[in-house]
Amino acid sequence: MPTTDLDPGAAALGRKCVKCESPGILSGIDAKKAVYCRPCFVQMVKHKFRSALGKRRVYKDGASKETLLVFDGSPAAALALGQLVESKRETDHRKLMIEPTVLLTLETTDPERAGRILQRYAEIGAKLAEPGIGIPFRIAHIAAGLQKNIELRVDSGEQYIGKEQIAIYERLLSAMQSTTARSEMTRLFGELLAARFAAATGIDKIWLPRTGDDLSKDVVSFFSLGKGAHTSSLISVSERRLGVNFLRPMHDIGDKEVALLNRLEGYDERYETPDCREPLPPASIHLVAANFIDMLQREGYTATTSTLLASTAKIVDGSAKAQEYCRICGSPATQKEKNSAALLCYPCRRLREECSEKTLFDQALCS
Amino acid sequence: MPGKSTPRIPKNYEIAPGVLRFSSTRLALPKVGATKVKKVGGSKNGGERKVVENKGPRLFPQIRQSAAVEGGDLAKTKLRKTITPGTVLIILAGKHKGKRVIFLKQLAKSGLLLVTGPMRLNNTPLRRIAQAFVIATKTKIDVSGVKLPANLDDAYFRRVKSKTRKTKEGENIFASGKQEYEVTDQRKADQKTVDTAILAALKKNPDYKFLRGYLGSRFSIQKGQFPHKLGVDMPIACSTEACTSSATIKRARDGDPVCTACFTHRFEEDVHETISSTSLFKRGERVAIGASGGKDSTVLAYAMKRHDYGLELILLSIDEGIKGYRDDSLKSVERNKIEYQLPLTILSYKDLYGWSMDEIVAKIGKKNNCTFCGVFRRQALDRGSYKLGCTKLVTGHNADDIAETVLMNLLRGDVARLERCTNICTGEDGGSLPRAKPLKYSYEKDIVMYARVNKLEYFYTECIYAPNAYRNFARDYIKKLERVRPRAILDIIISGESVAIRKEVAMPVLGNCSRCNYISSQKLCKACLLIEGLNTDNLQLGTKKKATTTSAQKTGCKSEGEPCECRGDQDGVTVENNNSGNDDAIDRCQDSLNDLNCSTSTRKKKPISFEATDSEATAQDNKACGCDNDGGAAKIDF
Repeated sequence: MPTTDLDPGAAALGRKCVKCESPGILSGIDAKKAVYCRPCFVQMVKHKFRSALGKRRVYKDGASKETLLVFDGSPAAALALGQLVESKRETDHRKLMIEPTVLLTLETTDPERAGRILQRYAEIGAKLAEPGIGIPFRIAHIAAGLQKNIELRVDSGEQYIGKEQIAIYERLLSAMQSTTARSEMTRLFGELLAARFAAATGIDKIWLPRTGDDLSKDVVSFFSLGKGAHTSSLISVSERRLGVNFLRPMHDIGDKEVALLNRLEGYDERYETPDCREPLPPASIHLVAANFIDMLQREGYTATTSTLLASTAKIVDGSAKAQEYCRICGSPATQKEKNSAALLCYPCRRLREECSEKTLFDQALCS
Repeated sequence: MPGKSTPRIPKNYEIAPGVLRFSSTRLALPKVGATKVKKVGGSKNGGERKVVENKGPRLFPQIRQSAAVEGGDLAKTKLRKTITPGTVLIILAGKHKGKRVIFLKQLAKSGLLLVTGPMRLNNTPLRRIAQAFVIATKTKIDVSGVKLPANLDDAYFRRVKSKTRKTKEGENIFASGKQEYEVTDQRKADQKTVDTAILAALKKNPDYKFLRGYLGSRFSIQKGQFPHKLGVDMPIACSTEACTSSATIKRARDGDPVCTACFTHRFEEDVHETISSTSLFKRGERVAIGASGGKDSTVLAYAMKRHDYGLELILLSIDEGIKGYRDDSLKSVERNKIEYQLPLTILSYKDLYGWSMDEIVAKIGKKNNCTFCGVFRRQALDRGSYKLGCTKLVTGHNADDIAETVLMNLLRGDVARLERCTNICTGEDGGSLPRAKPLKYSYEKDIVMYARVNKLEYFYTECIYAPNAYRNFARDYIKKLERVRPRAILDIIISGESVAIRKEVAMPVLGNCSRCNYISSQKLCKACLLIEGLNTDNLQLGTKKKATTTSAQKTGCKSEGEPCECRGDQDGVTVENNNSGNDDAIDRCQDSLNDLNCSTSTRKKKPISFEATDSEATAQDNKACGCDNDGGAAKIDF
């Protein structure tokens, strides 16, 4: 497909690239703001990716360079992986001086689907293992997040970590009384897996593949779940929680920019894994929030994402400074939220109330 | 005992028109009974076959046959006891499946039921239907005064088969085309006659308002539900402890099934809990109730009268001057005044500002009118309250309203408002008249139900000038959220209550308007600005932003997202929005005097990222006339 056809809206404007004199054929979410030629667009998005980390001096001042990339097969994860691979090639100017490890994650419990995804992961793994790149990787099911100390060794014949925990994981999800609670549990498991895997491998920093659009939808769903106070940290570029630094380098990049860059650089063919992420369940807050943001952008409110992220960045937790942290998600929790099992923040306490097997919940997550 | 001369009928006979004794699924099941092996002929048939020994008789005596078939006798077609003229029936099959219709009479010859929608309510015409295909509800309409045309019998409804003539050789058999069914004039006239009578009977019913909706709605069941178990045989007990009544209402707030009395009691207790836990009032205070005649203000006034708070309550209503809307809702307020025995003061825009909304809309058109209405109403309520010597103003903002406002402030980037919009009482810092929201945790659905249960009369028509405001998006989201997870509305409020603003974010400084002395963060308050614009024919004053390139060159701001007026968005580089101190860059972006300022917007700094114009943003602040479908005069900016 010719580049001019990738973004017809931008091409139709007939304007010049804002950085050079070439025709502007690509743009971000709002073509009326700025259009770019192909090379400038690629440079712009890559610059956004790298400056998100550079501005916060995450790898400066003697900080550890080891980084774990949580790869879930999404376009954002493909872009992040593509950037990592680029940084490893000796021919390129190595701007990202990091030592990456990739954690390929599985969400599905359907053996057939898991088989297809593992096959794709094997292809990706082969690319990562090529000489000149040599990025170590592991595959894990998010159920492995149930392990307090993740066992990195995998039994022979098993392709991924966490297969033994899938039964408990399924049982826990079935015990949740609403699709929203299940969705939220899945998200928490993903975070726990990343944090515990990083702790087991001695890695301090985790890249999460969340774009600006994903984070804006998270803002709305977090507010709808009562997490308002913690939202600012949960969507920020850099956040310290559960003993690790969660980084979101694509904080300022939209889905459209990710999709275009992946197409232009070939990351979609090389790394994207279709059908990898579970679709948002119907009748859940997450889907309603996602549809809401998409609808606003379709209606012409293209600044919705940037406004949400900007306003969330200005807010903090207004309650008394917390001395302790939630046992599950690691967010600050005040004393008054203490329950009999463990100290939980308000949203996690609500989650526990929706579980019909509280003993299992406590054993799995609160102990 | 059937004899040889008794007529016989097949084993699979009709038990009702179109309903056979055995379904095709049942017939396809393997035959049961003792089997024997029988030799069969034919080289390709396997030689032998297993057959059931005793298949039973092929024909049955006709005495088993139901009389409810065409050509049967009415005397033998027994009508179920639950089906009487005027009963609301639910149709279970056919084109009108799920619709609720009214039974008129049983047709003589066929024994079928004659029903009608009425047509105007649910598009169901006069029809015959078998009683096997309906569920009889307990709802009955008094149709004793309804005289049906005498020609409504089986012959009237019999389908007329078009005579097909033999086509000659070579003639095109499709020449005549498809014969579409046409409703005859006789049918139309009869339908009109019957429906007019039925609608007149419906209007006489005290529950007419609800029957309209009931008959217009469709019946359905979900997985796990059975028609025979729908609350009739298995009543649900009221969830209140020590209450033995059956539950008739499900509370929207917590989903608890409760009886009517407990619903009222718990709703009032929730409101009382909100008031007492936050020490909202002091005994002896003079409190104005912003009364629009809508459901929220009506319920608020009623609920506040139920408890003795030691307050002197006054109803304060604002007449925006909207013919066909506000004049009707004011009648509702007048009724409240009489019913609740509260003094009522009505202030009008015309008296306060010299302009009514009708005049304003005639001048500016139907765009931006909510900006004017909301700004004026807020100030009018404050002025009215001061004039009456009140120390506090209460409004009927409910949980849904507050959740929408939290979401809107988040979407607009108005963090200053976000911080205070969930406060149960605003303005207590001395800046303006304190405003309280006792219905803060009450769901809109519960308020409607409370009004219905207590037979409170309120006005429920949308403002005729209500545009497609941005708030409608937020409202739509809240409604969808409520369907998925009702608790989410309270969770949004809790989220809003738990946030604070970072210290480094600049907040507006409040002063007074130089003209009217009303609270304002600018030299002129918004109301004065808008009036100035109306009087000088400068209709953009106060409603449109003006770009200032001078400030753009000075500040060199790189605002997040939206093209900031002080810089052209050239390179798409976004501002860091945490821990980097670039909030100052946003704060430096100043608007001209034509900004969202005054009491309705205490933002000194423009929310650059939001695309809406001033008018939309102000309209969003002020949940304006009728946007909430309740004529909420009190529903404006916090």
